[in-house]
Amino acid sequence: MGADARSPLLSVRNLKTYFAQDEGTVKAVDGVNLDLYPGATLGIVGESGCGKSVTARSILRIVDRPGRIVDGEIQFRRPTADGAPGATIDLARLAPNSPEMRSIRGAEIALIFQEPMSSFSPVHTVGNQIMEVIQLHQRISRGDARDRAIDMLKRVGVSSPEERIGQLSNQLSGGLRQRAMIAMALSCHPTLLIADEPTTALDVTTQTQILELMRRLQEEDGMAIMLITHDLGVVAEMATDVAVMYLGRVVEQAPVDAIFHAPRHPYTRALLRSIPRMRARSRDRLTPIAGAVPHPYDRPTGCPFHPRCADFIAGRCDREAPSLKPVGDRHAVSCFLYE
Amino acid sequence: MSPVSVVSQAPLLRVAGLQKFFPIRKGFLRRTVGHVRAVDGVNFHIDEGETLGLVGESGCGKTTTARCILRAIEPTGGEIFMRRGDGAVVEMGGLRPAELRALRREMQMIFQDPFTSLNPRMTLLDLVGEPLLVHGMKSRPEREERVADLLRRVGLRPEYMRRFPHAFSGGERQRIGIARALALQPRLVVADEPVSALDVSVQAQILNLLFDLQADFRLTYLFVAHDLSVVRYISNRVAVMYVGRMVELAETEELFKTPKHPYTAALLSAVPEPDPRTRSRRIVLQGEVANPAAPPSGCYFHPRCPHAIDVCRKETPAWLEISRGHFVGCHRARELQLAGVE
Repeated sequence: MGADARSPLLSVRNLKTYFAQDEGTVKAVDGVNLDLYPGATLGIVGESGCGKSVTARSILRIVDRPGRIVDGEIQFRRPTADGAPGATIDLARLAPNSPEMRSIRGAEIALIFQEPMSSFSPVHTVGNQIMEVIQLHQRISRGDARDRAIDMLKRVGVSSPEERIGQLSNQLSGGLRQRAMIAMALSCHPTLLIADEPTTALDVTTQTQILELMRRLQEEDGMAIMLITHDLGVVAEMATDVAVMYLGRVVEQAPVDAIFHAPRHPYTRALLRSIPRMRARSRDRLTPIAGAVPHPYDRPTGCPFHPRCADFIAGRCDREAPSLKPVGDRHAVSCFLYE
Repeated sequence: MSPVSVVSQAPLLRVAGLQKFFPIRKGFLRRTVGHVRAVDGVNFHIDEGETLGLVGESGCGKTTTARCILRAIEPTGGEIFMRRGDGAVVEMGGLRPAELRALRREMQMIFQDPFTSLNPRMTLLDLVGEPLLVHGMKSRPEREERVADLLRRVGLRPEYMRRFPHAFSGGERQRIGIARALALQPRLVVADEPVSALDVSVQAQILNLLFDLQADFRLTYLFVAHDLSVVRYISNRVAVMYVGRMVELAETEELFKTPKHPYTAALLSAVPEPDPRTRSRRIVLQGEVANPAAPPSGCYFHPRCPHAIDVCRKETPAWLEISRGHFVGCHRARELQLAGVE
């Protein structure tokens, strides 16, 4: 089956990942729908507990026990031998440790984490860990893998990579560690890079360097990026499209300009109003969202946002759950106000 | 020590030449082989009722400065003057322990992480009432009444007084921490990253609360944070630190619109705006923050500064007031035209 550039690289449909625990079931991801196109950057924003990280881990099939995908599809388009987009495969149906999943994970879909300290082994050199990833997915000699690792480190702006390659991760600064992490993730030329809060642990001037680097590498390699963050500034800076999540669901997805300049969902609108801005006058009051994100065991019925929503329709929003409906070009909202 | 002077218009807090060095020990004998110059010559003052934002990246010494002011750690050098409730200005280093204890009532701290800063085995009544008990409010009914009042003031229901902190969300826990800090009616509140562990939708609630409490109780805030948009919102004046030194201090609007230090300008330009239409060319600083154990010569910022010239590599810049209330530590402050945010 062939595919043109307009067919999605990744298409998530009705994904549900639940954690069955003694106290009850946590519906961390509860019917997520997402589309990500080749070469695009999809920003996934939301507050703690909205399921953005579990969505990413579900795609990679690395959800920790007792978490389990209970429903839905994760259609991922694999490249053909010459690199052109090929047929899709449903990752939700693969066994997490099957040969197919293992050939996709780390090679075609790569991941960078928030905490580069804990994602490198402290007892192996950075070089050995990058070489291991390369040799796991490609039949090349150790010497060639070493050359590739040095090349990658050079590409991500690590100075004197020949020396760095022999160092342990704790000998590197936070910014350098995140660069090494990106080098490792991109060493097998993935078509999809999932970046989970890649700059949250970094200082703002280092964040600028890392975002700039990710943008340059995307221009050069053409991979799609799924950028998971709670920082609306980072999303505005990087994303082509944005999905806003709340309590395990996508409440709005749209091109980045529409999310920031014509948001439709009451949660998106309230979120944008509540954040302090650099360009605002100092000591002007903010408009907060009432209440707090509910505890996962204590999920509201109906629309998950209704207890905090200013436009809540009694008898409707607290009883039925809305679904994602198109409201414009590539713009979809899950809210009864638009039905 | 007796009060130095009695001036009613003196700032509430004045910090002069503050230094804090931590020894680096090595070997079996734990010999001191060097020092981390965490804070190295910091000067500022805070007037009563105002908010001073203290910003900088990790390791710049902003938290160490705050801890020195609260005397949680002993400074290596410099002086910290506080104007007491009775109007007397005292230097904290010269106080006897009993005097220091009395002064401590007047300054309290709000912590970053509401999940680890509250004892999980204490109820709200104990948590908020503890400082009252320690400072002599022995009657339980009296304490309960005061705690109920404090909880109401921070937006929590007094009926929840007998619950434990785990039953509350991050934002509510931060309110508990604020109630505890306010129990002794302090005049100076040091808030160290009070909203950075909170969800974005909850940050605004806490910032508004801090704002209201300041107006109601005439509080003075030292607000330590790394998030410049939060600092802009809350502060009257802002001080920027880099590797243990202060690089710029000015009124908030002036600092954001017309920064005079290249580091401030880079910091301002680095903050991504929540608006895709303002994607602009950012100042991407090269390299990393200098090591405070082995700082570079001259101006600590010169290895990363796009405007560095010879003198920057050799001499430490002086701390100059280039216009009224606008202080900069940069050799080229008067000639550089730097962009701020509008």
